[in-house]
Amino acid sequence: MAIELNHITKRFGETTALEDISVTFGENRIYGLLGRNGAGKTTLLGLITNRIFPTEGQVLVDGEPVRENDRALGRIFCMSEKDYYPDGMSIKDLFRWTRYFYPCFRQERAQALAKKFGLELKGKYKDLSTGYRSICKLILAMSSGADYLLFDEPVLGLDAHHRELFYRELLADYGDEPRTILLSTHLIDEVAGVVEQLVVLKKGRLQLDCPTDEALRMGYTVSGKAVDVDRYCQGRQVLGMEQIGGLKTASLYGERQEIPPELECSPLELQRLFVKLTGEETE
Amino acid sequence: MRPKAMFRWYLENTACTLLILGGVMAFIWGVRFILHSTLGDAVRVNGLELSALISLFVMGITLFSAGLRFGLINGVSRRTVFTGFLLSSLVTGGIVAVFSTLMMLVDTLCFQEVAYGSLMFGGLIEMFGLEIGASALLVYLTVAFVLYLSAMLLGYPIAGVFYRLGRVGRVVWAAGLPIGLCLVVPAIVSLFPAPIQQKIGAAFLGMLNFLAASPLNMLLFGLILSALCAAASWLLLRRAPLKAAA
Amino acid sequence: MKLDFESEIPIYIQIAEALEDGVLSGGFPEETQVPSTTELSVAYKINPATVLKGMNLLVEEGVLYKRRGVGMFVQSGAESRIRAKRRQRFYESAVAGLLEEAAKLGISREEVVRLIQEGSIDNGH
Repeated sequence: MAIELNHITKRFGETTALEDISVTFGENRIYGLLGRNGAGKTTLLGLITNRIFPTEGQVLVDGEPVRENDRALGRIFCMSEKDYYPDGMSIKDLFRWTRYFYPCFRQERAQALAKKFGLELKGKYKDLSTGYRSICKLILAMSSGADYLLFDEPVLGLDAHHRELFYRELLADYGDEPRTILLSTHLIDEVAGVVEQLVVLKKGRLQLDCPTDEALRMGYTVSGKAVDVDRYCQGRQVLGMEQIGGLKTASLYGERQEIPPELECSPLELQRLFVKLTGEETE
Repeated sequence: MRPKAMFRWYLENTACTLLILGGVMAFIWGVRFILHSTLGDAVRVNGLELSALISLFVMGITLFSAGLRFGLINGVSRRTVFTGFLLSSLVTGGIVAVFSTLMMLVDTLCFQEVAYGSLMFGGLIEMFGLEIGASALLVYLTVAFVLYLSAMLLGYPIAGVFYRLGRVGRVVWAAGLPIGLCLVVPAIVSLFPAPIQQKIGAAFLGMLNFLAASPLNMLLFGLILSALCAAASWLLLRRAPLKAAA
Repeated sequence: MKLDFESEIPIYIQIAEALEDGVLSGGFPEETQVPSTTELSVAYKINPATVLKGMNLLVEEGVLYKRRGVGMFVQSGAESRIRAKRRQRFYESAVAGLLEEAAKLGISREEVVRLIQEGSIDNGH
């Protein structure tokens, strides 16, 4: 029971958005799809949901190709960052249509969530603020009953209270009824605890695909005299270096082995770990 | 289940426009009915079928991107989007055709003279030498249905080309199509030497004669046009990516 | 309790320790049920699998046990087991760490002992 991407490449004219991506999302886990803006996350989601077609490669859902496959697509609900819903539609109608297209839609849950988030069901979709549009889409996704939930920047425009509420509701429902969830975001701090597996994209390439705690362990810094730091960094994956006066600090990725006593070792800030992994190579 | 949902969406989204169209058609017909009853033959108000054709054409145009977008967002294949549209245009064309025919029926029952029917109704009767009555109404119904269907199916791929094109292409298409058809093509034709122009004119007349020869010819023509539009629509739709509304 | 994603200590161990703290403080008496994985995952905003890992660790250590179809319960004797484990850790890390840090700073062992004695006096015990 999984979504498999096999050697997916997507080109838009001259630009290559995704290059030879092979990754699997399944087994009722929560995945984090991370990367900078423009790394290819939204394109990836579009390929999974038959919204765009791959240039090379294939997407399979539960073993079937997803391409133009109503049955496979019915198992996936994708909450998009962009606004594709018709402006003039009322929120009530939006819920109604989602129910028609996703027969497992849970109406009572949707209404309960709307109440918790303070979403008024009267009125039109276009009259909602950015935050409430996200909330509306989130509620639809979380009530859809689909086996695979894909969220593209779910908490865009949400205040801190609503963001918390979202994660809590997601986890509560997931705890009761596990399903495969994909959270695509550039906010690593918020999702670090929630996601079990991290899939990191950088400029269209797969940078990382491993369990979260493994990734968190793999980032660390060493600091000390420049000459000692440089010696330690030989043959290791260095994410970046900084020097203040005589004190040099290197950020590294990998197993911490044999750290000499003259160097101080400390964990790498999450945010910095992912900036390093997903950003430009620094000197 | 889900294809049904797509079909239902098309119907719901045309319902409002259909009601308005029905109101307009009823108004036009009503005005003519009243004027004819009071003033006699002197008065002709027409535009009944024309307003339907234009409305359905515009419906076809708007439904392409709206339907594709809503379908893709809700996890439905393009095939389902397309068949939903086809079925709904059959239903929509049918409803409007039946509605037109009902008005002709009332006319036929109230006034025996054919000249007081709609322009198209009268025209069909004269062209094919039909007897005023059930057979005339049946011919009208089927011809109207095929015309309305073609109108809706014509709008769809025109919008489809627009959807698939980029920003520049869209300007070219939106301006170019009407200008091309109404100005450029006639201008080019007028540049051809006289014998060729005559041949083109003769071919045109030939086609009109063919159509006027029998209602079946008209039906055939309409069905072929619809089929071609449907085929063009599918070609445009089958690999169309999801695009946000402009 | 706030979780520290940047700490050396893996999250699931932090969860386990939070549960242990609950047992020690009396919040989770022996033979009572602890919150479910879902409840804890929602409370801490972390993945249920991580919570489960922490709980399984405590099962291995004899702090919790599972009642089929019901949930996780605190073992009898858990409190003393936890105290024993933490005492061991105190000896190994806190004391050893203290001595290592003192050596780094050039503080002699006698001075360390004196500081400890003074520390307890200062606290007015």
